[in-house]
Amino acid sequence: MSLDTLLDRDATGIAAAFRAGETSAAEIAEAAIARIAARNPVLNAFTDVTADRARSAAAALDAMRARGDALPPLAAAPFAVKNLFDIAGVVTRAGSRINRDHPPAGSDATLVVRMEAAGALLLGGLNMGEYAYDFTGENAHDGPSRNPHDTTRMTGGSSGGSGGAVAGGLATIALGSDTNGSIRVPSSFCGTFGLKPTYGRLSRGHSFPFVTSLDHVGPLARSVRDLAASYDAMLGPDALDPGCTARAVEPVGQGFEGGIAGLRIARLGGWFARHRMAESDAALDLACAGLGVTAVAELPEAERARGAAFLITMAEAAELHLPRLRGRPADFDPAVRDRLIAGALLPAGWVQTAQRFRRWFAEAAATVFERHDVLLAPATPMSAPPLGTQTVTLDGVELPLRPNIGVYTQPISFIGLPVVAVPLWPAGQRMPLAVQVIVPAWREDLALRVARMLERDGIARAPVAAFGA
Amino acid sequence: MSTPPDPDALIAALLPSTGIPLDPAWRAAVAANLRVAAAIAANLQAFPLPDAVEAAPVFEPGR
Repeated sequence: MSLDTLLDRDATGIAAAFRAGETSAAEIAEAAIARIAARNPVLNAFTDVTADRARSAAAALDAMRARGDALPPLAAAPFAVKNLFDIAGVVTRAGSRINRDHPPAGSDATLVVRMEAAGALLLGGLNMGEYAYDFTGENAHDGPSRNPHDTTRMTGGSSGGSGGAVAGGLATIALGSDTNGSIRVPSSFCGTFGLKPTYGRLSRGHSFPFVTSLDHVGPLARSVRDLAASYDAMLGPDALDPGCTARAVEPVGQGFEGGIAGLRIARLGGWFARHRMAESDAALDLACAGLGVTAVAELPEAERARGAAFLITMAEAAELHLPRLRGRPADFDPAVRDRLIAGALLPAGWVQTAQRFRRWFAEAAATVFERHDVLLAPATPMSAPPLGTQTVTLDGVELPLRPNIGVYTQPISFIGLPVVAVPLWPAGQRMPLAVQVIVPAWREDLALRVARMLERDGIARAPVAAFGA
Repeated sequence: MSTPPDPDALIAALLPSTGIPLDPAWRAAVAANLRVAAAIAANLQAFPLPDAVEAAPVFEPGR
């Protein structure tokens, strides 16, 4: 097997090859750097490449192996991070023009430290929508990240470079953030697995915030076992993130192989059955057929939940960016700026109602989970649209595309429930579309079990796109 | 339910207090975003939330 082909394996597979002596970490690092050089001019997934750092880490791993030391679980697996995560010595641009005037980060994000401690090789920072206020993966300053399965199409945002890097074979695992859908949307458009953990489960320490009431971080990957391995590697409390839980860690280990016997799984109706397109219908039907799911559950008031998340996002993000809106409004992406300025004008009562509604909706969801263990819904109404698309027709009505990409993801992250986005490839569709596997708080293990069942049966998969095809 | 506020009236009343310099070319887009937010807020506030429902931001004393 050539080194370049080896990069199409998942992280666990590459770590196994390294552990078995099939190749060195240095060779893997060089192959990954060369592949980024070859493919990134088209995919535009990376904004910063940390080649020297990857080479140094690889040399250390090769020395460990030569000494006969125990090797960490993700040893020599290339990974990368959305460019809102701090990388020491690199400017944390957070997709913006303004923040690139900041000095380079003085330290690494907590999750970067933990992934490296697990042996993964950091390759760099990834393109994203400005300040994470985006569902398209387009960026006014750095250009759009491009979907590896069709480079004329969107990656989805805001972790667009993360989806593009994983589906394009430039990284085995990419870290993203998800406030309203920004891990699940690029997973859907790019055909990768994605894990948005329970709110507070993984540390946001030393990452640039967006809406701290709703911000989550997590991995995108090409296999369920990679989601589980990276999730386990990143678990743990962190004083740097006030929202990070002090709850004891609950590693998934190999628990994702536990099967689905006894799990009460239902598809979501109501709000989640509106706005459908043929591809989201087909993807959900495929998942339900594979899992034998016929039950339908209703998550009441999901439309209001989505609206409440929308208002909290506008108001909190506007307050965060107020100094920049006052001082450098012309340096924002216009689409982001106009929403932020509007957010700065929201009456306080609107936002407080939204925060109180959050509690109500969380309790309503808990009631639904008394009757069901797992809920399924599409991640997006549509598969990846062509770059530059402005409108979409849903239920016969032409609507602005951007906000409507997240109609199914927003109500779920609003109450912090863990979700695995599972990539499906319905027959007759050129592009993938993910289904959300939604479970109760702190039960990531259940979502990974369901995702693994779909992967094991060949229904879900996250292939590396053929480059230049 | 009260009538959703006119976005232009909101901009006129509140923008000066924010200190944000608004280019006239951006005004229509800001108003359009406010119109969407106002409709969402009206729908949200039409829901009969019980008085006992507390807000749910994250704050733990002592951390």
